[in-house]
Formats: sequence, structure tokens, C-alpha cells
Amino acid sequence: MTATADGTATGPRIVDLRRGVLEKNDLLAQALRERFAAAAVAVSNWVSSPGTGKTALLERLLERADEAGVAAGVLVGDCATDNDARRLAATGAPVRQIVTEGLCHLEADMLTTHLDDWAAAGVELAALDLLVVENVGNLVCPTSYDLGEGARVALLSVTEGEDKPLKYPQLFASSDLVVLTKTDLAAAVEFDEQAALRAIATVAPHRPVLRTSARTGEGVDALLDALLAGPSSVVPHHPEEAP
Amino acid sequence: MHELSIAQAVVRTVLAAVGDAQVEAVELTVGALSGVVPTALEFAWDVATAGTALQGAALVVTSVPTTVWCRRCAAVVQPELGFACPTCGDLSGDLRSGRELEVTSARLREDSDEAVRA
Repeated sequence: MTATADGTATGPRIVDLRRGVLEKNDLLAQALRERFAAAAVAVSNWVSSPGTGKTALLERLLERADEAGVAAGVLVGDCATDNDARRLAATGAPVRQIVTEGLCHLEADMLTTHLDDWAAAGVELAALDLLVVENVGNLVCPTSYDLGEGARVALLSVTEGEDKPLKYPQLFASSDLVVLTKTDLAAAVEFDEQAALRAIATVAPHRPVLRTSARTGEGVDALLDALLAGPSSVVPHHPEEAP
Repeated sequence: MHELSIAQAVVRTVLAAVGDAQVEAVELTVGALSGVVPTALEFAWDVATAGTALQGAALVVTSVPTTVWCRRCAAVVQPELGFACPTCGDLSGDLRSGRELEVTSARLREDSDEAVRA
């Protein structure tokens, strides 16, 4: 196809495109969304900075899911190593590592490939109730890439600073659910929960927030319920009104 | 720093649309909430276009600010921090712009047809 075929031979030689830069990813993500719907599996995409405790929380979530008779699986993305997959596989749940070889985020085509490979290895999506995609630890880049997930989960640990949502508004604004992690450490690090909730509400008004601790188990049941039922089932935590 | 992936996606999109035509400039619309930093994208542009038909083409980025609908003010406003209305301070999740990430157009060189025929 040449430019003249677009009828732009006369006047300014400008080819009108208006195409989403991530159109290809978005199309693949839409296909994934339909695939997830057909398999009746609830899919969430977990995004946070490295060290927030995604993997530790997932270990607890998988244990709880197993006890509750919920079939859960995990796709875990990292730049290198399969350390996280080996940790999570110890729970007995189907787990697959996506090594991005340096890429700072997951893209829809990676999920497609790994789900196909998983199916070839005998893990069928339709056999799962819940699929968690643990994204590469990064607060910026994963936000641009739709993975076809039903819910995007933004995680924030109490050790990270209450104003992190203000510093990385893109992630929190695009999330469906915000999860506070490591709440057992809140007192030790003098975490100001109201300040954190205000920061979250500033960039993501009315977003539900769940408090969790992988150590004490706080919030793990509620998280499991929220992921299975959809994040709108979570009652939002609102910061207390200023006096 | 995923701007190189983004730049490569822009290159693919433009090449698919214009074929062998010679491109002078590519126009891009980037929202403040798109997660893409225009300066990083410009840096990645030379690398992504090298060795392609777009080598030497300029990248023209139009930035789009975040705007939300403020129910109390009954107006589209541009929040200063997060999604708070700069006038009344109300928080709004009703996003009206800021997520854009679009190849708007490609401007072709005047001698483009000759180049195609050659």
C-alpha cells in the first residue's frame, strides 16, 4: 500500500493514522480476555515495585485457595531466574515462570505463548478458578500493557512510604484494587495509614483498598474473595474526614 | 523504561500503513497518564528507526494533560495533583483525557512517489 492510496496525494502529504501505538497488544489482550471468559477463570494482574511482597502474599493466597477448594494458578514474570516460580510451586499449585530477559514488563503476546505452552503441558485454563499474573516488579512500564486481565491489582507495602501513589499515579489510577502489604510491620515503620489512603484516593478516587499481611494472614481471605468475585465486591476504605 | 518497545511499536504501525513511502515526520499523541515519557521516547526513536524506512524521520510529540470531570463545578478541569479539582478540591475518578497513546499521522516527503518508483 502506498500513501497515495489513502487519497492524500493532493494537499498536505499527511497520512492520517490515528492508531493506538499498542494496538497489537490491545488486540491480543482482547483475545485473552475472551479466552479467560470462555474458561470462566478470574484473572488478575499484580503490579508493584520489587520487594512489595507479591510473592509472599501469593504463597499465602495459594495455600488459602487450596484449603477453600479453589483451583488457582500463577504466571510469574521476572527479568531473570525462576526463583519465584519455584517458591510458589512449593504450594502445589500450577505455576509458570515468564522470564522476560530484561524486559521491564509483561506483554499480552507473552501470556498467549505461555498459556499455549501450559495447555500443551496439560494445564488447562478451564480447570482453574483463579489465575494470578504476577507482573515484573516495576511501577511504571506494566501500566501501559493490557494483559486481558479482569482486575489490575496495585500493591503497596507499608515500608515504601505513604506518598508512593502520588509519585506513581499512572499505576494506581489504572488499578481496580489496591492492596496494602506487610501490615504487620506498620507500627514498626510508623506507617501513617490515613495518609496512604488519602494519597491513594487522590490519584484513584473510590478505589477499594485491602489491608494484608503474609505473615499474620490478615486480609488473605478477603483478597481471595475479591479476586474471585471481582474487585467491586470490596468495600472501599476511605480516609477519615479531616476534622 | 519501556519507551524503546513503544518506539518500535510506532515504527511497525507507521510502516504497515505507508509501505515504502518516504516519511518526513511521525506525529504522536501522548497522554500524561499513558506511562510514556516523551523525552525518553525521543531518545529511543533514533534507535528504533535505524535501518528502517523511517530512519531520519522526525518524531513530533503532542502531550495531552490529564483532565477529569468535576461534578461539583460541572466542568472538565485539569487537576494539579492526582485527581483533585484545582478549583474546589473535590476528587473525581471520571477521567476525560490523559490515557492517550496514539500515532496521529505520518507526514510524507515531497519526493516520496519518486522514491517509491525508483
